[in-house]
Amino acid sequence: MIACPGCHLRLGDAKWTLNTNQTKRNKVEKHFGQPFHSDLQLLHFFELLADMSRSGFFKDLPGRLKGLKIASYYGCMLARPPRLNKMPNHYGLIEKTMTALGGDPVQWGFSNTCCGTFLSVSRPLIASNLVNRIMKAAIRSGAECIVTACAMCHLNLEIRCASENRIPVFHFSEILSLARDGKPSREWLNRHLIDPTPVLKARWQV
Amino acid sequence: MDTIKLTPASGNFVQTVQEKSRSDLSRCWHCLCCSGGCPFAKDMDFLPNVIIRMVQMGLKEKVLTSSAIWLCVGCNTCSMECPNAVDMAAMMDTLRRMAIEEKVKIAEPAVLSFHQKVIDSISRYGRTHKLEIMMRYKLSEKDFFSDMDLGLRMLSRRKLDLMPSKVKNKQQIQALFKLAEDLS
Ligand code: SF4
Ligand code: SF4
Repeated sequence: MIACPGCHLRLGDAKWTLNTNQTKRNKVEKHFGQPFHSDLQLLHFFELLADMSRSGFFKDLPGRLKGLKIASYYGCMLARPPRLNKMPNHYGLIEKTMTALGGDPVQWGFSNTCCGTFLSVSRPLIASNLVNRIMKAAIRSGAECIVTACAMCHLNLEIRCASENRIPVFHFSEILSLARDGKPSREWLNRHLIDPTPVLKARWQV
Repeated sequence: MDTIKLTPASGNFVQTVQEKSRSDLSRCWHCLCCSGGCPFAKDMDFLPNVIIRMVQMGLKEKVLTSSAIWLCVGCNTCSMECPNAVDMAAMMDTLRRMAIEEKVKIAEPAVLSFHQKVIDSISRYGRTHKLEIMMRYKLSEKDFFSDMDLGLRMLSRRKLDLMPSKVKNKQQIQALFKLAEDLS
């Protein structure tokens, strides 16, 4: 089971390579001293969450999200190279999970626009233009916050957006923990560069 | 307008790129779907599909010294748009490797420098130590002041750690680097 979209893609690619290239497979098996299981399943955390949502697992959580308006942000998580186009598609899994947790996902146009990744460091202007377009679109859609599955997206959206385009960005693990017991963790909220307290205060004791 | 002289040797470049990237560029019909979808196309000197055409015409030096190949982040957005399953990200990756191997002038040295700092950090600790990566990157770029306030805010919010978190078995990490080299 994998929580990071980037790792999920890389591991998927490694699995594809090991299954299609015997020479490389031999080298890797020799290196690790054990055979590779070709039918190994790679599960993204959100696939499990979507399954749990369907089975009603989240119905009675004490911290349910009370209609929090959420912009689900995938970044490049839905895109993959042509050779991997048979991998399961994750489109809609964040929305499904957020709905099951009691949130209210909005429809918006930038949910799968790349965050700029490393250009945030080496070409900050390119990244900030992009991030501001993403943030503006989220605000226009009426979202109170953005939820992402990727730590890199989380960082870029926070550090590269202009002060007038700010809504809080949550990693999905924070939203899960909030929904579980309704007690936002101070320790984690303090790590945000865009203060999520005003948005949370409207519904929870922060 | 420049005239492009095609010779029998012009085809060598596209052949090499296709073999290394395992992508069939002759499938491209220049519909521009990739360039329309690429979030970075407007910052590139040549659009992604134009790079394909230039590769096909054997314009090796122009391609390898372009900024486009370094501004491509490999997000695969273009592949979701392409009706012909052209593996653009793999082609761009191949072109970056060739640019390094052939020691041409790199159009976006800061991009390459940052990649190198990240790889160095992983080979040193087995993980990335973001603060050190940023300090080393800033040193090499002689850019000390941009993002200074951001760095301080991140430190104070504990988004950056002062000390690196290290993998215990360093030999294993080195062996993985060796394996990766052997496989590529
Ligand atoms: S989308 Fe595909 S076919 Fe269309 S121009 Fe781009 S690479 Fe070529
Ligand atoms: S993989 Fe490269 S060319 Fe394709 S959309 Fe992403 S940045 Fe643009």
